Amino acid sequence: MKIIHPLYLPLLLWLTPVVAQAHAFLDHADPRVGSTVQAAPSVVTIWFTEELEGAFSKIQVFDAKGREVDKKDSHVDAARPAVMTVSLPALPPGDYKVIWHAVAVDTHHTSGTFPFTVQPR
Amino acid sequence: MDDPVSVTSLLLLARALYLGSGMVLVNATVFRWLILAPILATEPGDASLLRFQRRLHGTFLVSVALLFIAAVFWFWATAADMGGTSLDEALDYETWSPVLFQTRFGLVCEIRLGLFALLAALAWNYCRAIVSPHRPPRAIEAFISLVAAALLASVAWTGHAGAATGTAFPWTLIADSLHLLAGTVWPAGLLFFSWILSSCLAREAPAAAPLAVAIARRFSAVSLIAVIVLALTGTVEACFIVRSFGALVTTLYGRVLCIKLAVFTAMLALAAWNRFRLLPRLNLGNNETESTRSTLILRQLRRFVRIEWALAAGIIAIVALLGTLAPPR
Repeated sequence: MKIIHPLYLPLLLWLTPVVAQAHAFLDHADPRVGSTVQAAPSVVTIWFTEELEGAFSKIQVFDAKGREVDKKDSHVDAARPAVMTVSLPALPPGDYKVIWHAVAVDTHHTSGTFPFTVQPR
Repeated sequence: MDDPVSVTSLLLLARALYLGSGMVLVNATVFRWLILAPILATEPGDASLLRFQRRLHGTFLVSVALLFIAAVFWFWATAADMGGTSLDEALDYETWSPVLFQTRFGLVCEIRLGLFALLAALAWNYCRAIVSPHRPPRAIEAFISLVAAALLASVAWTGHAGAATGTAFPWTLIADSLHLLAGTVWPAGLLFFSWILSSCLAREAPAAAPLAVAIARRFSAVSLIAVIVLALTGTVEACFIVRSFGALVTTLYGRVLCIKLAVFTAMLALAAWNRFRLLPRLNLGNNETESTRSTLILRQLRRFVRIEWALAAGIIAIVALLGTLAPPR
């Protein structure tokens, strides 16, 4: 059975997205995405391009062995709803991975990861 | 977890139903005010117009019911989508209560619930008035229009316009609300326009054309204002949400928007054909040949208006889809 007429194929191809984009983008982060820092950060803060829903958004930080090292107090800043933060204990030098999951106020969700490294002093 | 496709499908269907029934609901009151009432004032006892009026009221009630059902399904699908659960799991209090009580979408749903309660109370009063020979009090009609308009405009708060930040926020929100409300006049009003043309055709032949011309001229004038508002507000929204001409072809959102604009342009072309080619050909003469010719033209006009309405339904489906896609900004 022919499901799609060949004449519709150009239209379908045209509708295939060339640029995959999300609703709440990661604008920038502290520590910066992929950065190496001298002093272990006490928090990870991410600035998004849209305001977030605190009840459904979170940040987690994992060490090189895959253990969650953050204080599990991830929250959206009440005064700046596009900013999300999670606290960290005193981190030893090493590689870390930040995993974020964001639900914007337009109800769409996005997620992503980025690494950072704490360098030995 | 459910197949995410079923959650997305329900979300799409619920959004489309909400937009469609909301637009018809608002237009059911606006059409009566702007188009029907002035014509009825000159033709007070016309049986075909009174039949149309009853149909208008019936549609009003059906639209309220459909809008409520759409709102419930929209909330259900969104609760599953935001919580990352199945549709079944989203029925649990633990899943839907944070969506209802801790999110902006939930706040909008709470406000909608209040507006529905108000609308139900008013609609009952309205129905009692319309079955009696007297028209419903103007104050009730006006208030119902406002409540219906608020229910429709609430879509702006839950979409991309409501998620804009900084200076864009008030502009996108106002533009989106006005865009939705202008859409209730044209193209949503085409549904009632095609029905009222049928009512005209039901009259005796010589009387059909003058009434149709009077209604079409009125509808055309009101629609022109709506089209201007749609074009202006659509441009403002595109400036903030799409931002560049390049994004119209490089992103899925932009491409779907292009399809919407193409359908919109086709509808405008049809509307212009109806207004400037068919309407002037409607002869107001009384002899039999002219009446027969006018009836044929009226039938053609009604057919084209129905095609326009079908295209409008397509636009509503596209708008529902755009609400689920990522804008390029």
